[in-house]
Amino acid sequence: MDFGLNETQELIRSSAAEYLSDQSPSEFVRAMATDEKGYTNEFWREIGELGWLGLITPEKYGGSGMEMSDMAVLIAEWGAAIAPGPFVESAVVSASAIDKFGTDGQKREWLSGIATGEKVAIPALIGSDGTSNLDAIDVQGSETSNGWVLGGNCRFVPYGNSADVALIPADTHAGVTVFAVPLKSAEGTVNVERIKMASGAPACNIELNEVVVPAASLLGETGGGRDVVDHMTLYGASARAVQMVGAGSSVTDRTIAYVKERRQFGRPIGAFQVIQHYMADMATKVKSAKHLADRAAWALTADLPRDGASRIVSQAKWTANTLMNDVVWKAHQSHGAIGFTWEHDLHLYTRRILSWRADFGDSDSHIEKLAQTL
Amino acid sequence: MWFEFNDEELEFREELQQFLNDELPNGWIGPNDESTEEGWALYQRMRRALADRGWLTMTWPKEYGGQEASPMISLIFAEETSYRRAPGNDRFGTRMLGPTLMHFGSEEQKRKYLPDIAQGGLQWCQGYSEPNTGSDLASLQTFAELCGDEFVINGSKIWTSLAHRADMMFMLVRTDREAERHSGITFLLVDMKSTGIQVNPIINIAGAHSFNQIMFDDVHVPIENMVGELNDGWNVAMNLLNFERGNIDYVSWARRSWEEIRDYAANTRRFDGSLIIDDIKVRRRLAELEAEIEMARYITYEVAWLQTQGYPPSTEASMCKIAATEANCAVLDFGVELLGMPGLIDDPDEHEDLAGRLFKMRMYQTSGPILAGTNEIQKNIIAYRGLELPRR
Repeated sequence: MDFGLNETQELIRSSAAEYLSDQSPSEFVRAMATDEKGYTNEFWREIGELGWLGLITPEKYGGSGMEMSDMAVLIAEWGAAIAPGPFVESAVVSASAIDKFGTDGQKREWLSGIATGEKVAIPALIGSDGTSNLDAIDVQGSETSNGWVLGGNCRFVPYGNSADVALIPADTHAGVTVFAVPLKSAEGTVNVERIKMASGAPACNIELNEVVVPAASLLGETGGGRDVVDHMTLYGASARAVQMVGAGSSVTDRTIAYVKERRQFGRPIGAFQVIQHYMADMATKVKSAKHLADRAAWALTADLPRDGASRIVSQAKWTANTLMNDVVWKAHQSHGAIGFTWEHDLHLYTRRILSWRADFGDSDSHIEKLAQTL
Repeated sequence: MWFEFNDEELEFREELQQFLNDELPNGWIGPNDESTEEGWALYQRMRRALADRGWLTMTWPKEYGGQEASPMISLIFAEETSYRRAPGNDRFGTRMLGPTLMHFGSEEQKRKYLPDIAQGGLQWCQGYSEPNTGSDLASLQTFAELCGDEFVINGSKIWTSLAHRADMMFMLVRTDREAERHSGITFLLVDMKSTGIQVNPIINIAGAHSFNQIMFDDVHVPIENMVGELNDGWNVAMNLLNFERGNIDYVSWARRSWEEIRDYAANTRRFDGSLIIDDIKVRRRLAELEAEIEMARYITYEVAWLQTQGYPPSTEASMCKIAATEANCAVLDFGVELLGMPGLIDDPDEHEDLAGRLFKMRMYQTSGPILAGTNEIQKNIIAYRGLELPRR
């Protein structure tokens, strides 16, 4: 057992915390929440230069070849700063899926671009019912003599209005198959409709009409899409859990600082036992969720049976969903009226933590996964 | 970041499992009831057997006969023995008094008591709480007057586990009524056979005689039984409380009960022929409870890890006490209701049947969130020591 950070991880943590407090203060987070794209090219190139976007990508394809437990240290800081942009979507979920299932050609085409920040890849996992239930996917793929034709709708695609490539699961004659679709240069019609989301991150409904992609854009085997989607869900859920705990930890720190400052009845409200117990509960919940989230990130690259990692990740995401929800509402209760204002930063966290619960499997889907394997 | 045990730790766990297979009665499911003669005999036999292996004192320094085992090995020991609901893991002598004597005891006290504790000899009990002293320990009133070379104790201690089985008690007494309340307390070792001691049983809500009220009427205790300095007992006791809070026991008990309830649900059919575990509400609640147990488990592991790094755990120990005792109670609550009317059978003889045991265990575990500092006191500790919230 080792609950500490190694030297490299400590370096990642401290430099990320420092950079993000400088470059992603709440003014930036607020500005990006109403920005068409949701982040800036400049910011993205910079974190690419820092090596963050290629942290778990092999060196051969322009990354640093580190493990998810190292990446988790960075994601926790990213979550604590509620930094904008498709970090988890591009640098974790898509990059690891392309690395695991892609051909050498696909890796050359996308991975180094993702790592530098010149390219952004995103998963398109939400189907017609607005959840990540794979049975509700609404894209059909048919094989032709010169590749594949895709048609249908992807809902709530994160950053779909700026991404270069979307990893899209489609129903085909052979079963679910995942395609890497270059959104900006695809042959056929790609209609992108931007939706304003509570989290501040843009999501898009994408309509594919007679989109022709070459066979080389297939990610994994024909009919092997469930494995690819499982992988993306596993990495996405693990990363989101860490990100949520990072954000919840920041909410807890801010709330503790507030109750030490705010005075009523002639004393700081943090001197009242009911508030002290709220704070103790919040700190305990952050600690509980943190260990399970870190363990899930570690489990993805540890030598465990595959089902082992899957249960550990589901436990982590369900726990983060449940406990960080509790944390954020206790934070509001402790802040009183000021936390109910648009001006105060607390709701920036509230909106994201609530939104992230739905990503890469909601609480019900993860608890059911666990319940099916008791 | 690494969330696995190393080879040495895994080997020790295997050796311990083998030992428990060999030493526990055939088909043992526990828990042991030390209030029966049979249960007390088993407790003593197991304590000796564990002592013979050196396991009761494995974390002690070599100079006192210990093995200087790492806190992680010690955690595995507690995790595994609690999972098996094995009796004999003496906490009062080995986990509490022993380390205190090493730190504060005189050479004579160390020579006299430490080897005996290590061998599983005398049974100790702890005299802290009083009828008017619960969470506010420093308010204790039992008075010891120093007359020449002995103390004379008058007063009462209460909720004293195993006092009716104990040979000796370590206790806190007030020795200066004028001093500030924390600085008028002294730590004493008292022979339970002393004249003037009366042990009155208290029956707990499970119907068992697990604790007692002790009356002290002019009880004479020689001054060489004082541990540490006169009026410095608070300091001695606070040091000891850090040894008390090893909460993996609750995690293991919760896990074991959870597994029994899961197995029951997976093997029992309802009137319509469906397996109970196929009920979506049942299986999801089981999965939620499992996650709650895992949360408590990893905070507990962190406490042990912090100790291996030389950090004294404080808020983490409080956090895991809360998480583990709450998870344990939640598991048993769920199980009692899931079993329906059979879950309410109150028959201690039905040991092999879950229905006969579950309610009794739930009654017993009511003490978890209360003893060794209530969970509310733990939250105060987190708030003051960890989060540095103001006291006023």
